[in-house]
Amino acid sequence: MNRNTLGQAVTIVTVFASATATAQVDFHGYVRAGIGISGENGQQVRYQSNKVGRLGNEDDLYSEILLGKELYSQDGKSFYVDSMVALLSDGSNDFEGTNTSCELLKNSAGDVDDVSCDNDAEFAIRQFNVQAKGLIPSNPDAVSWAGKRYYQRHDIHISDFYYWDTSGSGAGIENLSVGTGKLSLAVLRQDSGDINVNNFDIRYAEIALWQDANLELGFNYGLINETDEQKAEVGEDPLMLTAEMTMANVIGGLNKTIFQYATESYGEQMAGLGAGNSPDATSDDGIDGYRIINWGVIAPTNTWEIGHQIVYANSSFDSQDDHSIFNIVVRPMYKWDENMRTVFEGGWFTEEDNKVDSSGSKFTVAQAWAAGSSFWARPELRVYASYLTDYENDNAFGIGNDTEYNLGVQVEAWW
Amino acid sequence: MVKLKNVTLYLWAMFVAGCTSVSEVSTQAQSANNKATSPAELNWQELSLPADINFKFNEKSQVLLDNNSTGPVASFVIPADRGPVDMVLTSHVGKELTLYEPNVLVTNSKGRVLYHIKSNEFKYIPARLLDGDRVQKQFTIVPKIGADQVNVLIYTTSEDLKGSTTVINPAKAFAIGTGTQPPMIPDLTALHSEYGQLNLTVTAMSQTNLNPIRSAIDYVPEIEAKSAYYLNSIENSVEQGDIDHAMTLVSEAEKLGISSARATFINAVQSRNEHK
Repeated sequence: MNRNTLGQAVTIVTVFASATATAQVDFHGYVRAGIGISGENGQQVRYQSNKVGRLGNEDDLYSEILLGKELYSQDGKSFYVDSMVALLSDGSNDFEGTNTSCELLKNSAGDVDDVSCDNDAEFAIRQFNVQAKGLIPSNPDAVSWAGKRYYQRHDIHISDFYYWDTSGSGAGIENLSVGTGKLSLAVLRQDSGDINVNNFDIRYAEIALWQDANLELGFNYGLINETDEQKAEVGEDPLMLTAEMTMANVIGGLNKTIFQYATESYGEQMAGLGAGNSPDATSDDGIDGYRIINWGVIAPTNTWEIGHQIVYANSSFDSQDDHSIFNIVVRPMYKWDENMRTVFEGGWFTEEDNKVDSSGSKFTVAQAWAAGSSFWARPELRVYASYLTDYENDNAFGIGNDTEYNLGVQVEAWW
Repeated sequence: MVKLKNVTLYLWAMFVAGCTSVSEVSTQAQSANNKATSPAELNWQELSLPADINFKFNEKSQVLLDNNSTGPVASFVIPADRGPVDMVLTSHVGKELTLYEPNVLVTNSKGRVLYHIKSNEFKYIPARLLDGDRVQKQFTIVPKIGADQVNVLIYTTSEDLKGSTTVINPAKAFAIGTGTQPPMIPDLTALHSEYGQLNLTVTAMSQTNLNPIRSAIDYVPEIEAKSAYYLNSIENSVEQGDIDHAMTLVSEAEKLGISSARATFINAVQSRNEHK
């Protein structure tokens, strides 16, 4: 038989098959939304959720919609385009548009002295980039990219605390095999008002330590790129060093320990719970900051999973006293079966900023239903009650109230 | 509580499929002795199209022990007189991290193998929204003109049972879904098992019989007669290894507006390659 023509026929079949594959668009996203009331403040309140935990302590509607598509894939080379918009509102009514409504505010003498503006809904461009894989023959897994993107973000889910997130517009090469680990290089734009700042981001990941443990090291440098006119107002370039150790199989789950040291505006962000993003280019106060973080999820039995975090951070300044913060959040989850769970979340923080003390706590009980039994399984529908306490401010929740409660229902989903 | 999940899955499936309902089909053996040594001894169940069925392999399922199969099997007969048939077979990773790794054997009524889909062609799909971790394969079978039905056998082999499938760690899936850096931790391993929960959907291009009725009527519209002639000739040429002739027939047929010529040709080539 004629093998050549048969080969040709097979090629036709393959081409047809790949034509249908490239027609697919990847759809990913995230949403949280719900409804709730508080004891004295009408709708539910949000209280220091980065410090005491987010469960039963969120009052917004937030959604991300990502559409991605592989545009090209041939001979081990591929081009992928990603796009993402984010939508945020307070969920207060039916039609939440992007129009801004403003009103004039009068002072006690009855004179107009301020304007208050409110956006019902906000819309944000969060990602638009192209990632090309396989362009470097000696490093087929390396990804060259340009555009705007979520760049290797590190967070603690239970408190929505991003401790390393330099996302923005930029370019880079990631996942280069160098030595035993993976090297990623990027530059990301992080303007401070009108002043141009570019964050040079170097990460070396997957350094094997021992069985089930590995290390990632990171260096960030915010290069302030001021114009001649801006020279007078700019301060020092900030930098941040990160070391993150990841351990698997720690009581059935994962555990991360992070140490960070930073200077100037990134140093201020240590106790300020920033992510090494959005620098303040005017910062010039000899700031040094560091933080130690441990977080993870353990599964001591088949029916329990427990998310936990401990954060200690300190920032010191030339012109003022230190800012330091310590917090603990624990989210134990008891699984009744594949889909129903009871979730508790307790959180407490104490903070001192230039001799001003603050401290508070939250305790939440939620009954939840999810698609699967994992701690991470979503969508999750939750019915919750939260009890909030502020230990320093007697009027934290309105006149004479240092405690408050929330009752509500929320859904969280990712896909 | 698995039931609740199933209910949500059904609701979801109804949403997507626009109100075709999923039915539960038993894989139980008909006789007390549930071990068969040839496909002929199996309990073949006829499906009406379109079909969307769930079935479970457990200790009560019929078992086939032959050259291919070493465990529980599902055996269905589907109508083959409605043009190409699209099938999607899904096997779900169980709660205890086990997976029935399926193979599919499609034969005609005389037992001749038309398609043989091996377990390595099934693709792992990570859990997302209401769907759990699973392996899945979509395929289209193009029955010969004149065929009434085809047999679909779903089985697993002794080689499959020795293996395992890597399942993404939920913490990583969450990170990918929310756009954060996936933690550097190992994935999970689902061991292959004789037991599992599967879903099969079968849809035909046409809801009605497409076979030309030849003897009973005097007048056959020209295009239909030509279509049958061309499609049969294309298949025969491929079977005899005369690809050049088959390709000539495809282009002639396409000029006449017989749109299924190419699909028939491709399918014939594929099935020839699989049986070499």
